[in-house]
Amino acid sequence: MSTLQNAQKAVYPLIHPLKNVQLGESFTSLLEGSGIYVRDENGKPYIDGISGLWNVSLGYGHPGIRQAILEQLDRIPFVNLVDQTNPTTVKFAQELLALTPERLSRAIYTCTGSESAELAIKLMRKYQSLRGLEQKQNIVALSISYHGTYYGAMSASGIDREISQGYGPKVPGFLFHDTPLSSLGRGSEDEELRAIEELFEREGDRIAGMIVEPIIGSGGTIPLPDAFLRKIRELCDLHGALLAFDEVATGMGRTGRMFAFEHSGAVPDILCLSKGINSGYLPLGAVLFSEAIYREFAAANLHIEHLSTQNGNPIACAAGLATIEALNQPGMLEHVSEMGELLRELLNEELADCPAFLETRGKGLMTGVALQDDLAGGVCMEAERLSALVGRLKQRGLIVYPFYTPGVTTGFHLYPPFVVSAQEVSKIVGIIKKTLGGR
Amino acid sequence: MYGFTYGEGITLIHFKAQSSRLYTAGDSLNCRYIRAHFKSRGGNAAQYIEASLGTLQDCAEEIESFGSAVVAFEVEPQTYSLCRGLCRTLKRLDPDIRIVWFGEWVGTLRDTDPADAGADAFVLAEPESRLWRLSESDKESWRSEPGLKLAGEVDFEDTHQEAFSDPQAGIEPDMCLLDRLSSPDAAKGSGCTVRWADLQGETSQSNGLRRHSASRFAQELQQEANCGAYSPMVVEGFELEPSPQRLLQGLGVLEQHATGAGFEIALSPEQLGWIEPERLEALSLATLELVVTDSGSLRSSEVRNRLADWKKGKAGAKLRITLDEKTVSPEQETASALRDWLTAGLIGQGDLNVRVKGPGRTELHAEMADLLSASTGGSDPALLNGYLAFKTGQYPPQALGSGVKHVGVSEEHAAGLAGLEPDQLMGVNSAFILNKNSVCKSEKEEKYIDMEGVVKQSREWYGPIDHELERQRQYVPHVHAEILSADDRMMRLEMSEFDFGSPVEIGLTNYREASEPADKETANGQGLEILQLVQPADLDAFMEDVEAFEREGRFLRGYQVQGYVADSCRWSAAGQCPIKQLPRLYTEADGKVSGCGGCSAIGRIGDSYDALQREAAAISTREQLLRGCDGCEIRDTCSKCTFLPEYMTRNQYCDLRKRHVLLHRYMQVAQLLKGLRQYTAAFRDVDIREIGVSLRTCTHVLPASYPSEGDAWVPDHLFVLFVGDQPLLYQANGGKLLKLSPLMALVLEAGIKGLSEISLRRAISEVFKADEAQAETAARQVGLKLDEMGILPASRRAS
Repeated sequence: MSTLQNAQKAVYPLIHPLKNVQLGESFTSLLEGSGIYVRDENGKPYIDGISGLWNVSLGYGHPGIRQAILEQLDRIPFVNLVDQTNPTTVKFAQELLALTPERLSRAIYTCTGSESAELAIKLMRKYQSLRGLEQKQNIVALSISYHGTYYGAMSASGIDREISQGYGPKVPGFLFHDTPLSSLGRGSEDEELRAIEELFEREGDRIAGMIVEPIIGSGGTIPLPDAFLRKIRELCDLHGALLAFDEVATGMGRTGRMFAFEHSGAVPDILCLSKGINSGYLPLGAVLFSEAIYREFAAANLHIEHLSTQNGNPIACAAGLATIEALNQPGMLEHVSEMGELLRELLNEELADCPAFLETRGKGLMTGVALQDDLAGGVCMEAERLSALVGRLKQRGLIVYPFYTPGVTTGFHLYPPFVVSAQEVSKIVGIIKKTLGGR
Repeated sequence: MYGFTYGEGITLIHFKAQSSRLYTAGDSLNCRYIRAHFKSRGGNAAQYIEASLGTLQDCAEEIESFGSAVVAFEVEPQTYSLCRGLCRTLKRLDPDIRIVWFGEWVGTLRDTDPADAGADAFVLAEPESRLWRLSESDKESWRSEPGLKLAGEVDFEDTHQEAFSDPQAGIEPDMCLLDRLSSPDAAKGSGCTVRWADLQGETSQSNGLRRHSASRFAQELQQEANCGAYSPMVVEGFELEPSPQRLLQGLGVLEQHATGAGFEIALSPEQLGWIEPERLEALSLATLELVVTDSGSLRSSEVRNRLADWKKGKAGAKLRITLDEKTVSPEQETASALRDWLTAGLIGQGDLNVRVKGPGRTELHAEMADLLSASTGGSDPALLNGYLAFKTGQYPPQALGSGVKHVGVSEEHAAGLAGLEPDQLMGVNSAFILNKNSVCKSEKEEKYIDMEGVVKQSREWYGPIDHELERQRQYVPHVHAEILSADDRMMRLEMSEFDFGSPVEIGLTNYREASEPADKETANGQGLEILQLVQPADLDAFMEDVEAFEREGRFLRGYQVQGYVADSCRWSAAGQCPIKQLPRLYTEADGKVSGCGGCSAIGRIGDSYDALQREAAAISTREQLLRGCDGCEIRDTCSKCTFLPEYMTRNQYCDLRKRHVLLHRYMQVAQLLKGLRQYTAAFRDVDIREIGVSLRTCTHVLPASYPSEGDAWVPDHLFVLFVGDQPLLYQANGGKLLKLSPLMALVLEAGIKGLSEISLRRAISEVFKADEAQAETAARQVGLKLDEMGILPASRRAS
């Protein structure tokens, strides 16, 4: 490449995901991390209140994960799973399945959460097709759900329907059902159950499956009622549809249980995982699915049409094994529950007098801090104000992630690493109080 | 866990005055050395970097969030007050935090108690190793640390004499090298600066001098050169070098590392004598700073001739003179010598500086004061721009959201300014604007220079306010005064105690009285003028001008561009009302506070920034709901002013804005032409009436018979202008000005009017006498050209 050619290239070449393409050098450059902290190139530390992007669940610099990565790196860094296998890769699949109920018996690796959702959609449709039910192609998703940005996942995401305009044609066949918001005081659980029943009654013979986040993530950390989750399990069984839980954000201990579905007892046919699967140290995802689905493919003597080269990379799987080991340590998940409770309790207490504070929501270390418009009295805070607030939190050393679902809820997510201590929880609350409480 | 421990190491703070007391927090060479020292020992020295500083409280809270037990301020004369204010705030926030000051100038504060500045200690020497040890030890053991002046310590010299004579610490003065520092990491924001020597050494015998070895110096020069030096590389410390051999050795290294942009070095008159004329000439010098500590050398013909010869042989090279407090003392002689240098063209007006050691103050006689004031160019553009933002309400986006920038105060409220709690309310870069209704008493001509190195003037109104703020331990960098003339038609703006030479005179005109220009001179306006809309007749006159602009596509009177319409944010584009960010406040009678002059109150003195901001935003939001702004047809172009003056009702405002849908464009173009006339030769001397602007209501190439057909497909950031017959395009998003062909101008005008392709081709045929095929080709080619030049994507064009 000649100097002239280089000179013509952009000074800052990187386009950051989901951000205006013109933004570039204004991004904080993070150089190192340790526990719940990250440090920028100027040496300024921040509490990473969102564990990277909800994935670095065991915090930065975890010795067990680091060691596992190094050891696997020295053994073999890649194995072509199309034609070969590897003990680490197989062991991780076994361990993942061992964490789940009997219904889930097989695993396929992916690289990301979007890809896991993508695969779940493919499995639901192909499964029905293999059963000869070609008319069952529709997939039910919720109106403010988020499943990713790949074509299928984007098409299944209710929340991004406007933003993704212009990228069409999208994958067809998604039925968007109103998200149950009774936990936000809107409507009743009974109404919600009736509404979903009606949908299945009306469309059941064309529904291949339903994909749901047990706790709505990007939409604003909104836990779905247990009764609703159990109801959709029942309806899927009744109508021969598959139930997929997108636990990319909620899985692997984030809610204080290994998987969020454990809170309701509703077990899915397909479980989408990524993010915390190996504490976010390397790209990895997985889709666990039921024996029933496996049998349909087996009976047809077919492969599953899905591959990305790096899926199931042994180093990423080694990190996953170390993650499971850490999560299985006695008291770890209890700690996640306790710290989450403490965080919400302190926030509710300290922010009670703050006019912009509405409520906290969530389970385990998955907390949404809902903020309202204290100026005009609306339920949602103005986007500009929310953005300024998130900026001020960062200036004071706390990284959070805003949610802005107009007409439903606004605020920010707080998903700190599981290694957060009570003292650090109190510090997080202190920063938020100082920033939100005003002077 | 692997990795770092939260709160380990220290936090470094260095403020840089970008203009008179307008600061950013950035990097410096001293900080780079310290960071490198820490890094080489596995430690962490964090740097506080902030381009847009909020209030002192915000800064203190951010610094506290670094978690460091030790916070080290590099303090310079220009940043002394700010650092002191911030240290006090930081201590209030966290009494346990340990604050130290360091830097070459801090070494001159041996007689000052660090406690007075809110610091725990001053590091007087070897900041790199000293700070490292302080970060590693508890405060109790600081007492045994040499080269440190602790808070409450009365007699520094006596206490640490022994430590200074320690052979391990002192060694041979000339051997005290900077070399023991590891390579500084490539840092941002510090510019291209390398150092030959400084005065932060331990040994009192050599005045603390420490220097690089030649090889080390070469290494640093190379390192900086590799970073790509497009401006002269500043080499610090040659003027401190007492040894002729060493100096020549250092210059030899420079010779070997010549850069395209050249070097900027400082030498004393004595050192000049050590260098052969040919050798000085051969050096790649962009600027030579003559550091004069003896006024006699200014009168020396030998020195003058030497530098005159050097300048003659170095086209474009600049000579600067730096004086100290001693050389400005016998002013009469120094001043006349400097006049000779100026007359001979050896130096220019802006090439005089003063470096003052310590916190003292030196009185100046008139001639010296005039000379030094004139070097500042008569004003401080950044301060003046800030003031104009206060008057117009139009603040640049980067100035918003970090505390109040300006607080307007009437004379009767001046005594209670500290009650506003500026530390909590006002940004670090802010000012009080005192409105003096009474004609000012004649000022005493007491001029002086202090550690900030600029000429100041004792002002009767400034002293008491400054004193009161200091007494209340509140930091506000500036208090400006608008001093009205007896007839209320002129105003003199005095910026704090600064004397920038000629005073800033601003005309105050009620819009209705803005006079019809008699000739070209007045058509283009003279000086600064603020146009006030204080009653309906002013508004009528303003709207008449707007209507004429919409009709004619040009300004007919100079004041429309030259003048500044007070509170012009009210008439500007969507998003231009800054009330929710509250950059300005006014104190009113009975302790009330408003966000716009003459409008309803949003709180009282003593209310917090957040409370005032919340109230302003709440009133604004409610008012916009009442008016139905969200569903209004001009919502995308109206600034939606919700704090209206008494002479205008809500309905009148909405009605005016709807009747004049190009009002926002009028304000944009007036602002744009101000800038273009200031910075662009093509616009500078042109009669304002000869500048055309293409609008939906008036085009200059496209015949008026073509009405608007749809939404514009030329975006708002493109301005089509005409100087005489020459069409030009200004791209506001990139600040580019391009010449256009008449055909391109026509296409863009068609885009402004939202013409279809068919109409566009018809217009081309008509204007350029082309047949249909030629017009189609021309339209296509212009479209491709605009696309290729990144001006207008083809996709925006109507099909």
